Amino acid sequence: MASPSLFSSLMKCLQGTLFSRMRVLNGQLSSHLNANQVRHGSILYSAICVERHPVVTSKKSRIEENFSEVLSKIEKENSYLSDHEVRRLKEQRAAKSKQENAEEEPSNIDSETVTALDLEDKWDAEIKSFTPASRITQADDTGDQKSLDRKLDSSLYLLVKQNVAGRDHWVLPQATWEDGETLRQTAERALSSVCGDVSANVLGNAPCAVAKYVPPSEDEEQPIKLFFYKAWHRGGNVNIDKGIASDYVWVTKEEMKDFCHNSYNRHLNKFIFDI
Amino acid sequence: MTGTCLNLSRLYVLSLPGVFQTCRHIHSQRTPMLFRATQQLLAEPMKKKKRIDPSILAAREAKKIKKIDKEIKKLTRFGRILKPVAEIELPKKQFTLAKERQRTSPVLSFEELEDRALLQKQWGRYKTNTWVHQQRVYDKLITAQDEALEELKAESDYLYKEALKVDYGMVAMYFEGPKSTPPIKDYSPPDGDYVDTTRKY
Repeated sequence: MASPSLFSSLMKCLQGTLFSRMRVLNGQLSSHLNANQVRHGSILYSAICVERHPVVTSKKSRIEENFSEVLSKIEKENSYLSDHEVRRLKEQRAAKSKQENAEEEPSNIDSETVTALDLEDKWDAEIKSFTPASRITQADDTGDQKSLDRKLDSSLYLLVKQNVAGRDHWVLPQATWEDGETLRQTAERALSSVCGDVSANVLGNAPCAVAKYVPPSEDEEQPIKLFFYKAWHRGGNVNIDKGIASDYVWVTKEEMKDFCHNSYNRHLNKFIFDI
Repeated sequence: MTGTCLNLSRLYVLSLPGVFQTCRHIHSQRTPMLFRATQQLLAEPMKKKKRIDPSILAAREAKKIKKIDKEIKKLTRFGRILKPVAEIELPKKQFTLAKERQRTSPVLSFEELEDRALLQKQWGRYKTNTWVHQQRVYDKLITAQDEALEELKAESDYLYKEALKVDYGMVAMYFEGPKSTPPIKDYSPPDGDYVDTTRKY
């Protein structure tokens, strides 16, 4: 019923992907033709989006739950009995025949052998004695947004309260581009200068999005371009530099809305997705 | 007569059998350096051979033959048998006892089968939708990046080229996937028993 629209949307997706790749390739080619000239019309900024990946699996949706249940049922139906199950069956049969025999002539041999059922009890006890760590942590209960231990089943992003154009805003750690460095190096510097020793892998040399700010009045002010880089958090705690930023939080994508300014959030939505 | 022969021709001399065999000419020059194969007169006289009892000799021979025979027997018995590879070989037990290992699964009712089929279809739709959603996300990501690169190109060619460079730091990147429960801090796993299950061949 919904197949034509679905098909067309699929085609659109593929087309979009191909065209954009082609554009990048074309850009790559033409860049070699251009002379090595630098023309800075605007002030360049680099911001880094540090992401902590989910530590635990996200909760299964209803259909995922149902389907995995059916799959495991089918798998069990198609399987053969394991060595342990065969052994248990054999022992059950032996016990039954022994009972029948015992009625005729009672024997006093109480064997001390370990049966399959005994083993199962032992395993059950072993697994009961182990308690895995809770998926909901203390930080979740207290609502501590500075902890990395919160919301283990979703991605967390680092936001800092940084002074931008004379006012404090919740933004991604950012820094001005300085002559002699690439934008990626600026992004890395932003992280190290604002947050101390947080180690993160920056994903690629290319920025993943841009935000343009054109000054309202036609003064001497130059337009601003803010380039975003993505990075994976690898370890280390945030040790904020009080001179540059006053506060920091680790938040999910949903919570970002409550912190960031609407216009800023719109730019974040271009490249931060929770699939 | 021999003298004249010598004077006449060397070749002739050489062709004489027996008499002048001690002198060999292997050179083509007129005055070759001849070497002479004289009889060995200075050699030590041969020792008298020790006589060994033929029965002992026979016993020795038999022993040798027996040893070789044994080796051959051993090789024919084991030589062709390769060391089994546990991963490749099918578990014999499970196949010989397949009947015994048959699980008595309940006969599924029509409703149950229908439910399963419906769920499978639902699952297919669900997965397609997620795939489409993901493709849209990728599309948006690429669009955002392209926009950023265009803006960067407008600013500086140098920065643009730097941004396009391949990041070889990504090659060694690793990622540990999400697990069903978080790790316990400072957890020391209990020591298990060491059981050596390596088979000897």
